Amino acid sequence: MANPTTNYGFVLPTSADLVTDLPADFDVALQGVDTRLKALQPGTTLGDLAYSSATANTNTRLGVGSTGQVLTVAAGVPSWATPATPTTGFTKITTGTFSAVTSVSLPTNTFTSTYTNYNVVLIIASTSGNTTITGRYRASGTDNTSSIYNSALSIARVTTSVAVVGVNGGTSFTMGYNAGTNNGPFGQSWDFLSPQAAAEKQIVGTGFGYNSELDTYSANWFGGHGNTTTQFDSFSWISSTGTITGSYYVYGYQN
Amino acid sequence: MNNKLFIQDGETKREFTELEYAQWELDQITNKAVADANAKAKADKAALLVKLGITDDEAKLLLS
Repeated sequence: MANPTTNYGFVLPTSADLVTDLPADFDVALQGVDTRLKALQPGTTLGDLAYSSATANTNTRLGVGSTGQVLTVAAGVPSWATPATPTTGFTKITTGTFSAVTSVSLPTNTFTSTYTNYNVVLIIASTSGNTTITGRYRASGTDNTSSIYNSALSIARVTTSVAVVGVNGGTSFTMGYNAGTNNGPFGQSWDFLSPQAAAEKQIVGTGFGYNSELDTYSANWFGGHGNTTTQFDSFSWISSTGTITGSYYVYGYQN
Repeated sequence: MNNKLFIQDGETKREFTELEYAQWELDQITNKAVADANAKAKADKAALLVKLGITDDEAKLLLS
């Protein structure tokens, strides 16, 4: 064996050393081994890692990261980092159910400055009468009943007849119909544009319902304009007759 | 009011407030006015068709 050793330079006793010097010689040799092992394995705590440093035969301790952190590289050496939240194009904001109510309001602050535009789905599973569903913007727990609502609801009945219901400067949107005699078909998906922005608002969407007037299923297309720059944080639907039971889902479109 | 009305206000189901009842009454008046106007327009149209002695489909053909 080379003396000192080839890789780590441990100094061993030689044949010329006096026997009485051996304890001191082994002290030197083994202390060298001990020091080097510690340099190579610097860990002190459960979960520690070690990586090679710029100093030969010496590793650097990397303390264990926190829950959720991932191993990455920064400035040329390994380190732990919290991964960035992935950006998605479509984020669920809230969902809810309602049962036997005359009106439904989304929770306060459903619309925030985080998103400019939203997708809102309303499913009415049952109604207690032949009802018209109207809608109003809402802020701080109060519906806006000003004459800001312009809309057109185009209805195509399965019997092929069509109708258009218009609102021009009204106090609410007319957004759909359902019948107590034929529950189940009502489902609407609307895009709410800029409800919380200080800008005029639009709602566009499609859906299906039941037209009690002619007792037929009907598809509908809705376009609405909120003629105000007031910032709203919620929206309400109101049943003109009887009560409604169902659910809603709100999603934010990534800006 | 005899019949209580309820709102699903976010996560809370509660009875209408006095203001909401008042707005509801206003909405009912508006809805009735719109329904009456639509019914009158429908009746006027039907009466006109009778006077002309033609059906709705025939009127559409004449106007097409």
